[in-house]
Amino acid sequence: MFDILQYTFFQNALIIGILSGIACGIIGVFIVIKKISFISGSIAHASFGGIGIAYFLGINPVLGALVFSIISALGIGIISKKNKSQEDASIGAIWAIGMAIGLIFIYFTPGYAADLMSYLFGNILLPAKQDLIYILILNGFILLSVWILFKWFVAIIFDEEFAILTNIKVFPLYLFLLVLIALSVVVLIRSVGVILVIALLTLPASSAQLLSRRFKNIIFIAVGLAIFSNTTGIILSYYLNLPSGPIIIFTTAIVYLIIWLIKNIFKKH
Amino acid sequence: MKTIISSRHITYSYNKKTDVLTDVSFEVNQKDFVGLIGPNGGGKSTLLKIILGLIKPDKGVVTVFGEQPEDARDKIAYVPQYSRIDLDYPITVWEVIMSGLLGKKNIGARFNQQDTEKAKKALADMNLVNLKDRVIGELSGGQRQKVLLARALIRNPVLLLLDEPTNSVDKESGDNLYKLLNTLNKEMTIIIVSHDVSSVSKYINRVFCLNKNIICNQADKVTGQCDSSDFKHVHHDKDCIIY
Repeated sequence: MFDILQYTFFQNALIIGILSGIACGIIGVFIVIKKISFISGSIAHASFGGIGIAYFLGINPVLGALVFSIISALGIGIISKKNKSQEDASIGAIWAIGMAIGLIFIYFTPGYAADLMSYLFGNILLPAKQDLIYILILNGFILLSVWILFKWFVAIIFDEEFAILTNIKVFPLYLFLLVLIALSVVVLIRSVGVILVIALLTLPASSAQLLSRRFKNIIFIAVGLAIFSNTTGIILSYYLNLPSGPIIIFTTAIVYLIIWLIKNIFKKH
Repeated sequence: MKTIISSRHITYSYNKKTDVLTDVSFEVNQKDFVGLIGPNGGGKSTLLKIILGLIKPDKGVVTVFGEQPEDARDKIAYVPQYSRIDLDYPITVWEVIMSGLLGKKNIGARFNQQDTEKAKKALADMNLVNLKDRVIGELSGGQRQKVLLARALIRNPVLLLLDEPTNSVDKESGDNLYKLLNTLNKEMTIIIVSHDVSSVSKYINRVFCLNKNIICNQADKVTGQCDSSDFKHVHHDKDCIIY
């Protein structure tokens, strides 16, 4: 069965799967605990606008996604600070406007956008040498940032008001957390695509939360589960000849379900 | 006597329509132990937020230690209502207490030996040593309240503000908390917001009853302060009658 491991494209896919598992495991825990999965979904969908424009201009779509996801992350962060009552609606609007921009530019692009579907729903088995480099850099940046800022993120999410009163720079830190979400979205586009990203950001983290009540342990478990789901999904999608995105999402969902069932069956009352 | 907080004719309204505070003037002096009472919607939380510099009054001036409230934050510690804390949050007692020191650290700096010593002392003072590695959701209401107090005290405040500290805390823990605050009062000025001020009344030296403005039965005509040298029983109704 492991003869497929000798193919470079498959090795690349597995490396991307493992790296993106690290990014989404870590950032996913912050998303789930801060309860901002809707914001993260909006950032992910809005990044499609950048993919469309990049297609039109003939540059790497990952770069377009990067720019758009960061702009939408900052946009949501600033709107929610300036006008709390508009936050929910603006998240939804940015979600749809990003998608609309992407579709319009792809419509204007001559020829058929062959791997458009892979950006929407992910296909990690497509050859993508340069994506590997992007993912490596972004992953390193995310890891380093969280390593340095961990205590600050934990504190501002736990009690924002107290953090403000102790002169912690809460707003810049929150904006930066949103930017890290944007970067992890870009890391994940290859494996699951913009539409399915949100499940990979939330399900492994939610599963991990069922298993531990220590912040760092939750992160380690979430990373492990995300890597497991990614690699299992990649192997299954190869043998079943199906796109990787949905298979990875099914794997994360099944893992969540199993952990939930075990926890609730064995729970002492 | 040194003035810690000075409020002059402050007015605040929601959306410039609904009055919350109207012409509130008072002074808090060094080592005061103030009970801030009043009916729901009387503006207690709003006044607290103004003192903390989280919101600005529409009119009037508040100074804390002679400065703008937001510039005085290093000297102030705040203990929020613990019902505001998410009990599912994966954070340990130790991490909560240490977070009180984060604001004084540069971003990315590690905690040093001095910080850990401070936190150990705070744990010991609050009798929380053997709960150090517990997650906050595993604590009782009284224990959780002590953790929040420890997080505030680790910052060495000169002014301590507490919002309804005995809400949903059993009576014994509440009494212990008040005894503790009484001890702390020797070193710092304390303002406690409470609907249940009768249990704290033997420790407080002044009471402000707030219902849009400060009303009391023995107000100083000039400063609007309530003279409350002797509160055996403090009750209030919507008119803030204290007796």
